[in-house]
Formats: sequence, C-alpha cells, structure tokens
Amino acid sequence: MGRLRHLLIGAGLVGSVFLTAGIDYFEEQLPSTMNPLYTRTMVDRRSHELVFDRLFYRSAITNELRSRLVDRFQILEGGKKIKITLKPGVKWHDGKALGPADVCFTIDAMLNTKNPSNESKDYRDSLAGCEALPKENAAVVAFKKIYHNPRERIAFHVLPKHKFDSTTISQEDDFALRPVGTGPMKASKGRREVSFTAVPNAHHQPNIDRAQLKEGGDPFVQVRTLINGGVQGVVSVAPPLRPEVAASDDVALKSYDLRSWWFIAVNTSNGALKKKEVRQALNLSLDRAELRELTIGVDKDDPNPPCEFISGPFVQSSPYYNRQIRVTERSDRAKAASLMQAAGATKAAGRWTVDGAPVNLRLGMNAPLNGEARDLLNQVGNQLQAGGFDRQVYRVTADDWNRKVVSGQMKEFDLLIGKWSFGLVEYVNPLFHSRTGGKGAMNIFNYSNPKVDNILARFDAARTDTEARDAYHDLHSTVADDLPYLFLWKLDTKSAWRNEIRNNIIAPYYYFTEFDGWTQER
Amino acid sequence: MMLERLMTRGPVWVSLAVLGVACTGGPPPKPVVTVDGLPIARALFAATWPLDVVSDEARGPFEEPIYVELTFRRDARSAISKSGGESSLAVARAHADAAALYRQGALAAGTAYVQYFDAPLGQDYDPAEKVHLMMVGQSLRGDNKAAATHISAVQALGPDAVTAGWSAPWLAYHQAGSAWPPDLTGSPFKAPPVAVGQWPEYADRPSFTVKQRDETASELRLDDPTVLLQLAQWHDAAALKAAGPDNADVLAVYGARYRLPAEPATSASADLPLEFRFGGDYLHPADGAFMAAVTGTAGLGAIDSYKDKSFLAAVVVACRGGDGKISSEKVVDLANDLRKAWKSEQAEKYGNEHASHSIFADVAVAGVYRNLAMVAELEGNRETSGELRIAAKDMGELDAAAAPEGLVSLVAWDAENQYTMRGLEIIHQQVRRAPSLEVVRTALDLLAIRIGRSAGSGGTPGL
Repeated sequence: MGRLRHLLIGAGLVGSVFLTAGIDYFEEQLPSTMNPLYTRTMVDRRSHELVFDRLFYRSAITNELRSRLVDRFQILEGGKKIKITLKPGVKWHDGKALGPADVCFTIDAMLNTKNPSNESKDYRDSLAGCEALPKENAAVVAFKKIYHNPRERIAFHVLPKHKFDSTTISQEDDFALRPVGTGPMKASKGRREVSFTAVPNAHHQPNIDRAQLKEGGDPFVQVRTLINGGVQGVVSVAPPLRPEVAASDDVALKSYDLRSWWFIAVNTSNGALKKKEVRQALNLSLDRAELRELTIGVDKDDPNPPCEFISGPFVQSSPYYNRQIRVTERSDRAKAASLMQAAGATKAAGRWTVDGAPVNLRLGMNAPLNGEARDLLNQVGNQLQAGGFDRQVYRVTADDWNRKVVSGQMKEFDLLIGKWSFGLVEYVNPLFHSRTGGKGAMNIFNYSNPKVDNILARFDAARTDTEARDAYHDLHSTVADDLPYLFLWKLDTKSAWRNEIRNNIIAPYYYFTEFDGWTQER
Repeated sequence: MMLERLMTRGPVWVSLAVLGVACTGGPPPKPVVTVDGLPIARALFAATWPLDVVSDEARGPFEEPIYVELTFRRDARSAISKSGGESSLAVARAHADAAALYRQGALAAGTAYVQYFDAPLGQDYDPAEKVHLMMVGQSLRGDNKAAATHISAVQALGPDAVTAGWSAPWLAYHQAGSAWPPDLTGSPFKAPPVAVGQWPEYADRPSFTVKQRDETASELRLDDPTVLLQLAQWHDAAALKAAGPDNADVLAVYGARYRLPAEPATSASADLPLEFRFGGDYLHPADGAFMAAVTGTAGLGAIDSYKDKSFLAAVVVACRGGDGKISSEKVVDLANDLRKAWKSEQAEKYGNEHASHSIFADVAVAGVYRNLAMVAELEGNRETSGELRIAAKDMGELDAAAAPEGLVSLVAWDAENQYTMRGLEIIHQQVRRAPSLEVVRTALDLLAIRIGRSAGSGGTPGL
C-alpha cells in the first residue's frame, strides 16, 4: 500500500509538470450528472455551480440575495407573481442568447412530473407557471400562493431551451455529460474526470482559465499531492490529515458550511429487522466511540472533535435537534442481549437466531465514504459480529447508491451506511415519509410508520416556527426509538487549497458560487 | 510541561523560508515584508509579541497554566479557575476576555431577536412581548431611536407581564436619556458579588414563556439577553479588581474593540504590556490604542496617525487597495508573508526551530485578520470585513488561533445578515465553556427556523 501511495503521489507530481494555467482539484467522487435538474449528490451541486447560473443566489459572505442573470424585478399581486427582466448580453456557452423562454422552459421542466427530479419537488410545491415576455426580455413567474420573498422561490439553475426537444428531459442524454450553461465554466464529463473551461460572458469574467475535477481516492494521496503541488485543491480533507495541511506554508484549510450526518439505514421490512427490539439491540451493539476513533482518527480525549455523535436526523447544533434524546456512545451488550431475548431470539455458539433462522445481515456502504472514514464498513461489521450478528459486507458504488439506494431499489440489503448533507434548510421529510403520493422520495428502505407520517405532515402544516420545531423534535424522539436509521455522527467538512489560489471564497452548501473572484498566482 | 504537551500535538515542522533580515551596524534596515512596495517597518515588526517571547526565559512566565488555558486553549473560564482567586494581570486579562465574550453574546442574541421579530421576517402571530426583546436588542445595538419606538408598547404590556422585570431597567435607561450604562441591578438576574477567579452563571435560566397570537395560543420560551450584559459587566469589574486601578486604562484599551455599539468610546490610549498581548490579537504595544482609537471617536483618521507607531495600523496602510480601503486579497498575501517572516525571525533569534514558532505565527496572523476585519467594517466594506472574519475563523476554531470573543462577534455579524448556520455551530461549541451563551442559542434557533422555513429552496438533502 505504501509503495502504491508513493507511485500515485509521483504520478500526481509528474502530471503537474505538464499543467497549463488552471486548477486541478480532488472531489469525493465524480458527479452523477451534469444536468442540474437531476442533482443528487453534493458533488453534483458543487459542479453545477460552475456551469450554470441560479436565477437568484445568496452572497457567500453577506448572505445578500443577488442575481447575475436578472437585471431588475417587480413583485406583482402582492407576491403571487414576480416579473423578472433579464440582463442583456448573457449568452449560453454555445453562443446563443439567454432569453425569458429559457427561464419559462426550466420552470415547465420542473413542473413536468414525467421528469423524476427530486430537485424539482420544492419548486413544484410553490411554482404555478411562467409567461415569457420576449419583447421586454422578461418573464412573469406565477406562484401557487403569495410569498413575501418570491425571489427565494426561484433560486434554480436555468436550463437552455434550445438544447432540448421538450420539457420531458432524459437523465442519460448528452447534456448530462456535456452541459451548456451560462456559468463561468463549460464542462465535459469524462470517465475519470470533469474538465472545465472558462467562458467569459457579459455577467461572468472568470480569472481561472481551466479546472479539472479529479475523483478523489486515498485521502493520504490527495493531501500529499496537494502539498507537493500536484493539485491545487481538495474539497474534503479527512480529519486525521488536517493538522498536516494546517502546518503547511503553502496550503490553507478552508471552512465549508455544510450540515452532514452519517447513518446506517435499517431495512425494517427484512426478517428479524422487522422487530423493533432487534433494531434497538443492533443500536446498542455499536460502539460509536470506538468506530470514530478507528475510522476517523478522532482522539477520544478531544473535547471538541470534528465528529460529534447524534441521536437523530439532525446535527447537534441544529434547532431541530432534540437535546432530550441522548446519544448512544458506547455499546451495551447486556442490554442488547436482553432486547434480543425480548424479541424471542436465542443465542447459540455466540450467534443470534430469530424465528429459527440465524440473523445474517447484508451490510453495505456508499463506497466514497471510505475516504472520510477509513474501513468503517468492516469496523461496523466486526462490531455487529462481536454482538452475535452474522454479516456480509459490500461496498456500494456511488452510481448504485445515487440511482438505486436513494430510490428504494436496494431492498436486498439489511443495513446501508450513508451520509446526508444539508444547507440552511433541513427538510428531512423525504427520508422518512412513506413512499406515497410523491412523498418519501429518498426513503432508502421504504420505511413506513403512520406515526412518523403524521409528524411529518404536522411539520409541513406548521404555521408557527414552534410548531415546526416541535414536530421535528417529536420526529427525532420517534425515530430514535423506532430506529429506521442507526444514527452515527455529524462530520464537518474542511477543504484545502494551495495559497496560489487566492480569493477563493467557498459558499455555504453550493461551494463555487463566487468562483469569478478566484484568482491564481502564476 | 503542559505547554510542551500541547505543542507536541501541534503541526509537523517544515523548512523555513529565509527572508532578508537586516543586521545592526550594516546598511539601512530593510522592510520586513512589502505589499506593492509599501513596507512594514522593521522596528514595528520587531516589537510584535511573537518576537518578544523567543527565548526560553522570556517565554517561561507564559507557560504557567493560566496562560496556557488563556492563550493555547483559548478557554477564559479554565484560565480564571487556575488563578486560585489571586489577582494578576493574567487573570485580569481572562476576565476581560470573558467580558468581551458576553458582550458579543448579548449583541448576537439581541440582533437575532431584532431580525426575527422585525420586518420582513416578523409574523403576525408573534407574541405581544416581542416589543420588549426588540427594545433590548435595539438598545444593545445602539439604535436608541429604534428602541424608543417600542417603549410605549412595552409599557402597555403592564406591570404583570412576564417581561416586566427585564423591561424595567431598560425603560428607566431610556427615560433617563439613554446614557450608558443602564443600571441593571433591578434585573431578575442577581449577579453575585464581584470576586476575582470566579465564573458566575445564572442559576435560573433567564426565560419567560409567552403566548403566540395564533389560533392555539401556542407557547414560546424566550431568553433575555440582558443577563449576558450583566455577566459582561461583572467580568469587567473582576478584571479591574484583578489588574488594579493603575491598569484601568490598559483594560479600557484592551476591551475597546469589542464594546457594544451602545457604549461610549474610551479616551484611554495606554500601551499594552506583554501580559495583555502574548498569544493574542494585539501584536505591538500600540496596537490596542490604535484599535481603541479607530473603533472610537478618532475613527478612520487613527490609521494615519498610528501608522508609524502601531504594527496593525501599518498593516492597514500596506493593505489598502486602489480605492484606498483594505483589500482582502492584499491582507491574505501579507498575512502569508508575515507568517513566514515570524517563523523565520523566531528561528533565527532562537538559534533553531521550536514547536512554538509556528503556533505563534498562526495566532498572530489570526489577530491580523480579526483586527483588519473590524477596520474594513468601519470603512464601510462589509464584504471585505466578512472575508477577513472568515479567514480568521479558518485559522482555528478551537485552538490557539481561535478567539471565542471573535467567533461570537462573527455570530453577531452573521445574525445581522440573517445567516445562522455558522453561528449555530459556533455557539454550540462555545456553550460548553460558557453555558450562559445558551441565551444566544435560543435566539439563533428561532431565527434559523424562520429563515429556513421561508427559504423555499435548497432543502433537498444531498448525498
């Protein structure tokens, strides 16, 4: 492994000799698509920010609501509509002019329910339609109800109408590989990388000519390659490597505001896992403190670790986190055994048997997560085995995770280790609601609990902030007991960029929003 | 010993860049670093604290546990506890840091409440008692005119209102002409007698429960930021008691930059002794006076009047962009050069590298960022100020380069911008050391929920 690492580092250095002006950076994985209508991963979101413009966005520094595409706007009918007039001279990467028809096309595509777009769901709830006013280079966007802040409701990436035959858009077409946007860079996705090339425009003057997204592998190799100058940035630096990065004179750690939490989704429809007591026993079989130490390298005496345990589907700093629910930090085998016995299980030769069959768990993990938590899959498996549960472990490819796991098509697994990331908005309903009527779109094992559905409906219907908070506090306590997920931890994200990349402001959640201002010292 | 242990957990050593360093008796001293040809004078650089504590003997006094807690761990509470109640400049500084922390906490909570209840986020179902928190929030922000608009509504809540006890001192303050400070002795929170080496917290949470004006009259529990101002005042008094009246000007200068907008500026201009600079944001003896002047009545005019006697003022001048204001890009470039220069100079003076050199350089750079962020704000350049505040945060959030009062100041700044994500995380970390900051969390939680619910997009979970 050591030799391989050195070879990889060497390859990175040799590669850097031939680089022209531009930046190379390591991402957690390749984007699953370059079409923002089908954004699934945070890598997608970050990559799309380079290629497309959102109609409105917030400043990464002052949080001010801004637009690079809209010259002026007018709120109509008290917030039921908004008229936006586009800036003149904005062109798509293929040279065609951006027009109001593109804005309306994007809205129509989002409203088209034939497009299986999770990203569009929020917009479908609020948008009613759009009318293009070509003579005025304007569009009037209509909402389903009055909003005091209608600009917030149209903060989507704009698609080029001329690149599509209809508003029914394929997930797999050429646009998903070679998109056309109005953002600072045009992109081409290859098998191992995404290449970005600057496209000066009326509203964008990027200072960096080209960028290349490389799929991150071994986190150690990523960091060594960065420090040696083989790449200019690493989007996510593994916690044990952060001190080394911080000590370098040539590289700086950068905060990336993101709320990410890790979980093990439990297939509550499979075998013994149908029983709540078994799920609770599994929860108590995990020694999270040991897992954290072994896989993330957190010093157990660190009073403020970058990785903090959670007991429900929010990070601890969230207002929705119910602090009454304690985290399970250490395993409790005796209590786990008691729960298994209550579930009718018997133990022979150190293995649990339920309803006459040994408990044999198929455990999977989203493969790219191994970069942040090395060997987590095996360590979890080992702990489960030590608790008397047989297990088989599998790495799930990013592609399978993005396409099958999230859409509830990986039912052959019993447990799946994953991570969710949120920005300012923490809307977890799609994770836990029954898959009915378009709800529960990210419900991994199609978990269904009427009590939970009722709580989620309360959140959606909440008029006051306290009603919303109380609903999610109730959700937290309910799922912490029912355990459709075994909740692990929050892990913050730190990027590292070489100092020759200057003014590299990282936007919360979206990352590259302020890319125009990034410069490279040559 | 403790210091050694902390340092061995520090960064890996790297070879130091050798910069041109002038020797005595030779040609005229070269500037240490330059930005677009503008020099930072060697004399100013040489008088910065990282170069004052190079020898083992000079560093020795600062390896005492109280300084280790205060500077390496940035934990004022722990530092105060190490004092054993004995007065010293070290414990005085720890109390002063606590005062700044609570001041910024009060500002953050007050600002969050104002943003939450005021237009455009305010809702018609908000409780009637919101006027009290808006009055307090505006008072802390120094907007007495806005605060005064709520006085009659606060009075109309009546003497039996759950907020009445908290309102009374502020009503009296405004009725007496808003002359700082408000007399908070009548507040429901009774601070203990001032004692060096103590860390008071409220025993009963400073909460009141009010009814929202929705169909169900649902309840809302709110915490009053006044308690944080009371704690700040308590630590001010403890700091003065520990430092002695002869050091009153030093304390006034030291705390000036974190005073509330409502508080009058200090006229003090004392040099800061090393005990008040080591491991902190003030690098040169005159830096405290410069920051007190520039954030006080002298305003931006202090930059030119201090540029030859304060290191930080010289840095401000060197980092001016084409518009005559601070350029964040220049600050970052200069900070990188300064970091190398501090490390190089320390190694040269010490004879070889020491584990402290890199840490001290990072702490000093973070100090440059934090101070220049304040000056940029005064220049009206909020964007640059924000960039530098975030750059300081990136230098460290829980270690020697972090300053809790600076981080909580960022929370207040973000709350003003209706941005809560960063602030919630900072407060979540800081309440472990200062539990009374839960008051800030209460206000930020509400603001975060309201902003999140009104955002409309960006809520799709990412993989």
